[in-house]
Amino acid sequence: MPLTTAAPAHAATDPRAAFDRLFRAEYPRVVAIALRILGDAGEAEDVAQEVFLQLHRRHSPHAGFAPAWLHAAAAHSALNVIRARHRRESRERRWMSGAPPSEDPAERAVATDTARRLRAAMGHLSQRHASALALRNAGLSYAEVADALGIRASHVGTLLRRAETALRKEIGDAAL
Amino acid sequence: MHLADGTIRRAVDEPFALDPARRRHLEACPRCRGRAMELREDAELAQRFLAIAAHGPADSEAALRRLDERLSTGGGVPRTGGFRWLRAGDGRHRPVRDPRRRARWVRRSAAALGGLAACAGLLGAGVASGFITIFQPSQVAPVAVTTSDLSSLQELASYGDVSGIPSLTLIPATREQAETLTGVKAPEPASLPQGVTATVSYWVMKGGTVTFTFDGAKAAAVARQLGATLPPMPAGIDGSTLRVTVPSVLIESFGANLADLLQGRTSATAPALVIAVTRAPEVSSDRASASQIEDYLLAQPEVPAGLASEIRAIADPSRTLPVPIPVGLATAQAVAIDGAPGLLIGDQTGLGSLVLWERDGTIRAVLGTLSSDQVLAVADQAG
Repeated sequence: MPLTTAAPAHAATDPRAAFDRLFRAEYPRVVAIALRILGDAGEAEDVAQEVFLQLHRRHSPHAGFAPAWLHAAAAHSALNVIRARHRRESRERRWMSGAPPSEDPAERAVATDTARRLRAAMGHLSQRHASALALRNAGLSYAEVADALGIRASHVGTLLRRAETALRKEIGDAAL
Repeated sequence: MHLADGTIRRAVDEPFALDPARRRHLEACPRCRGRAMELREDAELAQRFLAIAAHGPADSEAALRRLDERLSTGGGVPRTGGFRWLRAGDGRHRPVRDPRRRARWVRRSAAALGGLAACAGLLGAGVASGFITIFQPSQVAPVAVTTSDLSSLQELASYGDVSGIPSLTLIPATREQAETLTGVKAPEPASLPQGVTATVSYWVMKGGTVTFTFDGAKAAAVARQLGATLPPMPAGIDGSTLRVTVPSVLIESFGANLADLLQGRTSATAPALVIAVTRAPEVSSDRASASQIEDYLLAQPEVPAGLASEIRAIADPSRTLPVPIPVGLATAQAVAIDGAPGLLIGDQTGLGSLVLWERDGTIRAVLGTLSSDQVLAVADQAG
């Protein structure tokens, strides 16, 4: 396989080109992380778009922490979607004098029972546990999970174990 | 003293992350092994539950176009779900999905769920991503090869489908750029061999991830074309996918321009010195174990018997990077670089030397048109 030379690194480090490269490299995993919290592919891709938009606004794509930032942001943003929905439903219950919250007809049509169970379970876990589960099960290595959560890789096993115990309590043995 | 749950949980996913003493304990202790089975069960339960809504691969290019649209127009982020603001039954406006896009997602999700259900049964200890690391070198070892050995080995590519072969493009960079792109620090030798100029240029050789999926039918078809018959590929290997992560390499070139040097364009009489550092490569598998793959490949007719014997002689193949040494062209001897075991390779002509070693998860090399003592002296500083 012959070696080839390429344009100087300043061309490779052009911010827009670097952002596109980062996007292509990380987008599938960002979606996968959000999907494991939201249970809906469309919503997961919406979250992924928002997350990359935030990165574009706040940080350089060359930043070494960019992938870890994206992974953490995907988990947090997806959890925020769940919690915002819960807050909206609680608010509606209060305002409508105890009547059940009106369900978005699209929500009812799109969200399968299993997706609702996924969101309910993940929404009841602590942010740290839900994030660890989503990150690891989206395919991140222990080192990547550690980077995203700001902990040591040697602690990820303990965190995952606790998260899986908590998830099991939420879903019971009849998980599927 | 038994292992903590956190340690056992990590062993379920990344067995080679444990130090040898803990690995041996886990293999020998019935209580810890039993606990590992319990933790694996919970991990697999979580994995199945979190995969219930997984779907096919995300369309990154389409998503990038949507984001480009946002960035160029300054409008809202186009939603993939095709939200429209509609008046719902209670009279309030809410974002509602476009039912046409909803139907597409439901169809794709259903198809992906079926595929995932089939795949879930094949996953072993590789819980989250479906891949477990089966090779991650922490040392190097020489393996003598001939030109015909290498030609024969190329036939192994017909045993499956390979994708993602890196182009090995060399990119000139500043030191900071090279360190950022590769994730490793550039060594700074305090002194250089006589005649080597201190002018240094930095380069990055782009890595990538190569995927290889064993295909028994393909291997048999190629063999038939060549008039040969292969034994059936074992079920544990057929369809199994290997993922080889080849990290990018940071290269420091002292004196000569590296590109000129590699293409023989330099006429410099000063000796050339190159230092290279990269994170250790990694091979992961979604099903077949390292020993299964080794046993199968080394038994194939394309692998010369002598080469197979050399590879089988490697004590810990999952942690040892085999370094091919061309028979009759180079020699190899074991050396120690600041306590780390390494390999010193000299060519038979005496024109150059190379020393290779592993330290802290990186593979390092010093090479050049220098004597063995000279490259070793630089390696001790690059440690």
